[in-house]
Amino acid sequence: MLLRKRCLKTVFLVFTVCYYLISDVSNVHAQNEFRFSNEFSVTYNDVSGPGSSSSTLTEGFRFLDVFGLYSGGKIDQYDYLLNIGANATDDPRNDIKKFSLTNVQGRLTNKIHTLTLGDTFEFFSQYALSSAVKGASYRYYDEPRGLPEFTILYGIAYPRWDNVWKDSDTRTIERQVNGGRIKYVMSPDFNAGLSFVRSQDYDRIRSTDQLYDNDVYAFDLEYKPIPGATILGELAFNSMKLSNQEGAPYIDDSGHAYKLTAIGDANPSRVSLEYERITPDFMTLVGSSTPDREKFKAKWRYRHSKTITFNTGLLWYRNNLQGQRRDGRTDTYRPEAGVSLKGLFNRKFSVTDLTYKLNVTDKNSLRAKLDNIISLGYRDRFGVFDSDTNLIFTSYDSSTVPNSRSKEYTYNTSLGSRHTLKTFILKPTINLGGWQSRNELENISDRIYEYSLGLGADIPTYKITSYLKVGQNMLEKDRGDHSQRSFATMNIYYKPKFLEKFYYGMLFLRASMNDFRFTTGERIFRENSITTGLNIQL
Amino acid sequence: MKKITGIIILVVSLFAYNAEAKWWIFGASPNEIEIRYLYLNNMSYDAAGQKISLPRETLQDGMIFIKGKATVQKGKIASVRITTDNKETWKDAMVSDDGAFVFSFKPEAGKVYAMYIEIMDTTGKTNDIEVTRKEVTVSEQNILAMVKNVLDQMIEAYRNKEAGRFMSFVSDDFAGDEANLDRAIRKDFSAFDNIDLRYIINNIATDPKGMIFVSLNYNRSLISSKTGRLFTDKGLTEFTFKAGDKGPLVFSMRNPLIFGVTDASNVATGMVRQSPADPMLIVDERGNVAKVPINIFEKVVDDDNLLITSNPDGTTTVKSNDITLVVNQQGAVVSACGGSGTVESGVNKELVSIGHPPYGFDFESGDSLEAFGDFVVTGGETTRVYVTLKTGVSIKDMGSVTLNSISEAPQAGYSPLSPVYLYLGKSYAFKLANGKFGLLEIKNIILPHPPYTILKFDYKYQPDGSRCF
Repeated sequence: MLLRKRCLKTVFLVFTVCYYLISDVSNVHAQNEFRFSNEFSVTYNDVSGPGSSSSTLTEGFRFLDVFGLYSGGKIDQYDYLLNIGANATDDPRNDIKKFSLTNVQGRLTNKIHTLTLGDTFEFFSQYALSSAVKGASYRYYDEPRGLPEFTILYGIAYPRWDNVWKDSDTRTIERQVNGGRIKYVMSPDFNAGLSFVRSQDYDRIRSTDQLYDNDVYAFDLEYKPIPGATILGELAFNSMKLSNQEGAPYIDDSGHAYKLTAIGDANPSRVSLEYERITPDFMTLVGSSTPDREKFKAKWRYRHSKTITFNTGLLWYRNNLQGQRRDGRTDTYRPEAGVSLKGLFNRKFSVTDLTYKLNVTDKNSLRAKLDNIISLGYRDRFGVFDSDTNLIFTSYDSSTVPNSRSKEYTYNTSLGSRHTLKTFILKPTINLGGWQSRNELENISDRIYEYSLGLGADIPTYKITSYLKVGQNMLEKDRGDHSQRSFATMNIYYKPKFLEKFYYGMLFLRASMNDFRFTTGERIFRENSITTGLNIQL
Repeated sequence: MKKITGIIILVVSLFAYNAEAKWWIFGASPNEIEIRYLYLNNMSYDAAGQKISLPRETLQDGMIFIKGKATVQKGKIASVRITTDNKETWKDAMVSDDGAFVFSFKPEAGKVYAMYIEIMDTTGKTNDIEVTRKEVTVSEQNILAMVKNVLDQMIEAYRNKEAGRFMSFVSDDFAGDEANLDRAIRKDFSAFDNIDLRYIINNIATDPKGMIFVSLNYNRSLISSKTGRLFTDKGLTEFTFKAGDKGPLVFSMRNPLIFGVTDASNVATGMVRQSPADPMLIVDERGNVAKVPINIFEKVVDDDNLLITSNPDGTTTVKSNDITLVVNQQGAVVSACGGSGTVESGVNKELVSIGHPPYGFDFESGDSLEAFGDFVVTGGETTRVYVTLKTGVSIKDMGSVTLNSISEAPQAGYSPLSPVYLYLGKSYAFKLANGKFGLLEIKNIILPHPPYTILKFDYKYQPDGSRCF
């Protein structure tokens, strides 16, 4: 309850600041900017057939309105920024709430002091904090005096504003976050930061929800020893309490993670080396990490000439760092090599990409998987036609139970053109694609075919752009249901003269048809959808 | 792994001790004038592509800043000039004695600025101007529109199974690793047909350094190419984008993933709590799909050994390291074994041997009642309690084991004889009058004055009728 009041106070504060800024236009008019955007659309969906429950469309007329307000400018020595956004819809597939705030953010800064309220996102470091909160942050950074940058933050890591008012339809666990960071730029070549983030969970929704109390301490640095070279590092420790379910006592746990990256970047090469180790018990709730991983990565991109570029890479990682897994250790190796060639066979517009990727997995030092992926891509222009063709061959070989060995062939090609006929610009396209998979152990094959025809028609004089596409997709299986989807889509965008008084104004019409057919009759359904709307910016 | 650490230390040492050892350049001759670092706003000038598009909202004071530091082997840096109009006019940057320089200008939205940087030393030598060329434009699009544009293009590439185009929207330092995501989406393409994704952004926030946090609701439908079956689900997920020269690029994704779902344990870095919690799609490494309750999803999504198999009756078996369960097409659990989410449990429960009848325990509700329940405690000693069972309830001694070590209640061997002694430190299986099963572990026995017995225990109850725990 107390927390909800705090959050409401935060929102109130943001709006108060907003009101103050907007109402004081007489002082600041010349230096300020206000932008308003709104997209309103109405959709009619029609779903029919015995399998219509499988459709993700909501039948009947539905509306969606996306609203945004941006204001930025200067008041005395302070720059301010205000962003407010909201959605309104009566389609529960869009959002379970009829009206929702999407963002409320206010920021005030004089380049030394910065205050952020509402949606607050401070990226401390990867392990410490990389999520937004609903709350506030304050940053002090006096760059000319060379003092350390100092940031503090408090908020709740809710994914949406409805959670702040504890709305019953969208209720979720309350994760309170507070923390601070100090960063010191010792020289233009070297800076280091120290972060602390505490996250505490409250308000279990289900009896089986896990609640965490987690503290993360992180140290990060960036060092540029010579031009073009950068060393990045991060080291983090966490101390965690976890309650697995209602009534269960909190269990203490802790872990650590570190990452070291070296980048050399100067023409014609870019090389990066990275080593990372994250223990199984390392947990960051508002940062980003995958526990129980030791990883090494190397990448090298070499521009041999203006027309030839080589790419190579290796990724290795393993789990079971503390021997805690019952199934033992898994090592994964993912090397790859590729070359990109421009102007092959003296063709001015040709671009050829050839890559080879290998995926090897060893379980307790025994080979478990071996996958090969070879892909070839070719883009070129033949007369008035632009073409893009991709061929991919993949072989999978897995000796883990159940064993499997399969080969896959994927191919797709598109051909497009552009023609001007008086006031019309016509852009016809044709797309053909296919996929075939053959399971060698079970001796079965699956196939997918897809083809489509498209026609873009623009009338620049009337500021109209449009696109129509029709096609069919077929999945044929040796075992299981065949399926077939016939589809058609049409999009028309029109910027009429009467909307030119706005900063941006556009009318649009989108229509689509999907007809799904399956071998099993009761799964057949068809969906038609038409949407029209208006997008304006002031 | 010590070898790898050693290699990295060696590389770092090379950087630190031999400042000219730019071994990765492979033959390119170093210029006498060197730019030690160069930034365009917060972006590395070298790492940025030739064409840079910046959203106006992200510009500090609406300005573009170029900051750098130049060094020369002999002499000093005399001047730094910058052109924004393809060498037609040049303006001086502010230069310090140590070669650090800064230049700023207020750009107009939509205009293309063709930029070059010329650095001259006191002897009149200049840097290689041509390599500093960049085309910079400031976009009128707001952050929301830019993120939507990127998401729309990613979805289109994913739907059309264009791996290369999809990966062009992913940052080089993607937290789940680019190579993992690239491989995962290719497996997705093999596993699914007719992918459809629709979304609505429900939260967006930016940090001052160009990171963008996005939370969105999605609706997904796809046909499994393994079974030919159509699956749908909806949920709430989160992305972090990094604004760069090519617009926002994906830096991290959290579970439930909408891209790269066949390798969720490596691609996702974190989990978004769902509200409301509908059953969600889960996919194993081979591309087999199942729909499971959200509490099961949270438990198995990070499991590298997840295995999903389709059964002839239309149900699906989901097997992870800790759980084996069977789900139907709507995502409801048909049966479960091994720590299934359907198992109810409680710890530190208490019964007191006071009253007529004494307090009883009811497995189904998990409550200590002022009624008989499934059993009552009628007395006790320091190491054992005397328990009377309800009619129809039978019991089996499981020995001195913990509840968590019991994955399945025995099929037979239960005794309806009552009263019976239950011993401290032991666990017991109960076959209840409703035909379902419960487990009990005796944690403590307290004998206060006046004499009565307090029994402390943990329990589990399987409401689905199976013997799986």
